[in-house]
Amino acid sequence: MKKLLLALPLLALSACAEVTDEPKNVILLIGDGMGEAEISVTRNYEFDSGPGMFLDTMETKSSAIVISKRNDNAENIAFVGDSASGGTALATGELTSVRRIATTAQYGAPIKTIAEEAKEKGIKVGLVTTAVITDATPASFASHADDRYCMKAGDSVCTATSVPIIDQMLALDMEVLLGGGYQLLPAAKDQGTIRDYALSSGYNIVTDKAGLEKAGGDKLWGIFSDYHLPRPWIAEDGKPAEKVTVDTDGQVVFPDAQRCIANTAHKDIPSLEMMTEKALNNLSQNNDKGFFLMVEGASIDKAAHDADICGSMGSMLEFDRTAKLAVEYAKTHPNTVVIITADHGGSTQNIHHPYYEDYNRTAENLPGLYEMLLTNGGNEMTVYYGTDNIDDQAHTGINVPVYSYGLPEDLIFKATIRQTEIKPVMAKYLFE
Amino acid sequence: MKRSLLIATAIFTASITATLAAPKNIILLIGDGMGEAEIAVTRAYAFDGDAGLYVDEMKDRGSVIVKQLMVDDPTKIEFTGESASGGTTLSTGNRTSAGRVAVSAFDGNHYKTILEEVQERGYKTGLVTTSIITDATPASFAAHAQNRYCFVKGAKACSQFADTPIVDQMLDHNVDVMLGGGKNLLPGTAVQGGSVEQKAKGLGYTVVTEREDLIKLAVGTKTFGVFSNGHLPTEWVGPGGKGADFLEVNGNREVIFPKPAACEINPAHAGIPKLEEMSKYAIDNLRVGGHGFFLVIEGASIDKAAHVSNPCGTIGEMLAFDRTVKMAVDYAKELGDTAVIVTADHGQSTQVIYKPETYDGSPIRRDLIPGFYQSLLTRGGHELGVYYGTNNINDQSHTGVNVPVLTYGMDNAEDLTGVIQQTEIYPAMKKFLFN
Repeated sequence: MKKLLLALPLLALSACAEVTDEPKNVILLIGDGMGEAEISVTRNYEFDSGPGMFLDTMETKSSAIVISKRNDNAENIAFVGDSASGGTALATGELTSVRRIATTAQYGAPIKTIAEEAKEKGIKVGLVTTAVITDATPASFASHADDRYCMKAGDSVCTATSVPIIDQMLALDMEVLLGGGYQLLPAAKDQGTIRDYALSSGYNIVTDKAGLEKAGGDKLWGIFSDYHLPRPWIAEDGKPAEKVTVDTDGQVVFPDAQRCIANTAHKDIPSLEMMTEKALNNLSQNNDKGFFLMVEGASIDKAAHDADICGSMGSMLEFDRTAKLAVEYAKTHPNTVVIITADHGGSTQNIHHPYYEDYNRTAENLPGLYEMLLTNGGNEMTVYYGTDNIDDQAHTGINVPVYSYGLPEDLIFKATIRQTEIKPVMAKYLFE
Repeated sequence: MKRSLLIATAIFTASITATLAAPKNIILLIGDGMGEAEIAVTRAYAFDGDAGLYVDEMKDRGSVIVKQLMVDDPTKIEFTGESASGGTTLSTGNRTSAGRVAVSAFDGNHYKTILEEVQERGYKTGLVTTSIITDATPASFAAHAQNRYCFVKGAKACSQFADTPIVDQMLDHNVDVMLGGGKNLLPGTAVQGGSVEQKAKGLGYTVVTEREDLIKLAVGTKTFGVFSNGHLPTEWVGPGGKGADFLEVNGNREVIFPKPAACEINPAHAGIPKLEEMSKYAIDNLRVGGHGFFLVIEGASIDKAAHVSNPCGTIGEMLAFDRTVKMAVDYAKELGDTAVIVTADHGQSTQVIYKPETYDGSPIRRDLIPGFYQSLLTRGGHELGVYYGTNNINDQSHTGVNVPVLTYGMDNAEDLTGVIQQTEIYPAMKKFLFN
């Protein structure tokens, strides 16, 4: 009799679960500018191209085509995207033009995002990034703008009618926002500041690592630097890749191989893993509806723009560790899906070592920016950026990887897909 | 007692089945220099960014780590590969250094190739390429040399390590079908004296040099087909025959962007067999008799065109390669027990970039785009900007990026999924054929 009684409540519980559906969670990790080239160069430096990257162990992998639309004519395709068009494709499933945040190309109509849909259904939302929190990738999930750089009131690109991105993001009432952006706090909002607005909206604002560690509360806004967070690594000489120098005969003088070192400016900044762990803790508390969490490794791209290979690789490794953390969370929390992808490719190239060409090298042989690194295993690795010789390397129109963990079989991405196919799968999993 | 008899019979039957199972076939397609960037630029041009390539449909796929050993110190890694070392890794499962064809980077000792192994077991073999037939990729399967450019007796490259000329080795190797470029090899001197052409005929090869002769040629013949002097011409050339180049600048060093223009058919390709025509002949030939076969098909000029900053050359060759992949899979479906493996030896330097524009609309200066640029008009009428920035003379660099591996028909397809080392492809092919 006693045995029966015990069994009954169990039965009732499981029956209940079937009817009501367990809450489901989606963790979307976006490596900004994380093309295969950026992954390869990191694998080469840190692991001498052997095993070690967590992403390499992911079993489910597909390839996403990245394109955008032209703003002068939305019928026209551009075969390269930026973080705004890529973020919009991931957040809404629609293509738009570069610099646009969840608005249509040419016309500027707002496009509903998965984060907005989630909020409507009572599903908690968190955004974590190593960029300023209003940067294009997080902004694409929680705001609508014709120009990604209208981040706060007074920014030069804001027009009389535009609502700054930070105002929109706070109004969406998301549970967790973590990233950079002290400079947003004093911006004007109504009669006061953004800080006043966030506090009156119930946000617990923390501004350092210690604050993040201690923070509780239902609504958390963590800000850890004035603008983008510093990058974890920097080159030994503190400089990005540079043009090679030539001797008096016009022959290239190749630089000595150097190492990447920890960036002291990053010392007191919470790591992407730490922010992600905090976000997961926070979102999973008192939650019977599930959550959507977007985590961005922003500086894989930002460093590549600056030809700062160490900055890019340090960010890539931090992102890789965060991917592992997310998958481990999913393994111990049923009904959690992890999707890992990039918004677009970068311009990093791992080119031949100088010995490779036996003719004499003149500067015309290496017109771009060059860096020689010494890998962990003591090999020399040649990294090159050749799309710009001033200060801003290009994005490249290359497919980006899509990894997933926990998707039901019928939703798993297979073969080559369009970037716009990711959002419908997340929505189907989360909402249906 | 009865039971053990039954079991014994079962075991006996199983072992019979194993021995008598029809030999399997492998079609290994190597897109030389076919990184994701070269695929992406082709997809953009021909399908306006849709997943219209046949390789886009292939579901069994992995990502391959490419590297090679340093020439001067093979204990050290170079993180960028090359066709000889990449070919060797695919054909033997070993890493070697740049320029080495199926030999060790340390001592020059020969590595046995999978082509040699299947020949010993009675399989038929074939090598099809759009490069000269002695080029590094095909050579890596049927020759051994420390200098990949030792094509024929008298070549300067032969003296560096006293290599036996590659064309002699390939002919002596009795490969059933060899198709590619290299008419200029025929009058060369064979190592035993006489011409290469005489040698080939003496070994029982039908030598063909024209497309029409290949199309008419009966299957079941040992065939040595060479259809141009050196490498075959590419199917396409750029607008007006031109590739990517420096952008023109005005007096203020401000860049003037050209109008986008479409790729053109290369007139020099007229009369040259297409990759799929050569491949079709090879498969029809090798399948005869059901001995099992191992066929390598190389799209060589995806890479060669990229070296000289010619995106249309690359795109035309990539499309030919893609059509050939589809044809190979169709054959595999018909033949059964046939694996199609598609991969690359190394990546290249092609980049699709956004037409540069400054944020404030100010003019673009040369320093903002220091390399070679070409603006192409896609099939759908869109503007496609292609860029090469690793060299401003004539030889863009390979890049050390992962390359794709796609398979069809492998019962051990899981061996080639996820992120793998390039050395893992060779054992997976052997497992498919021999286990």
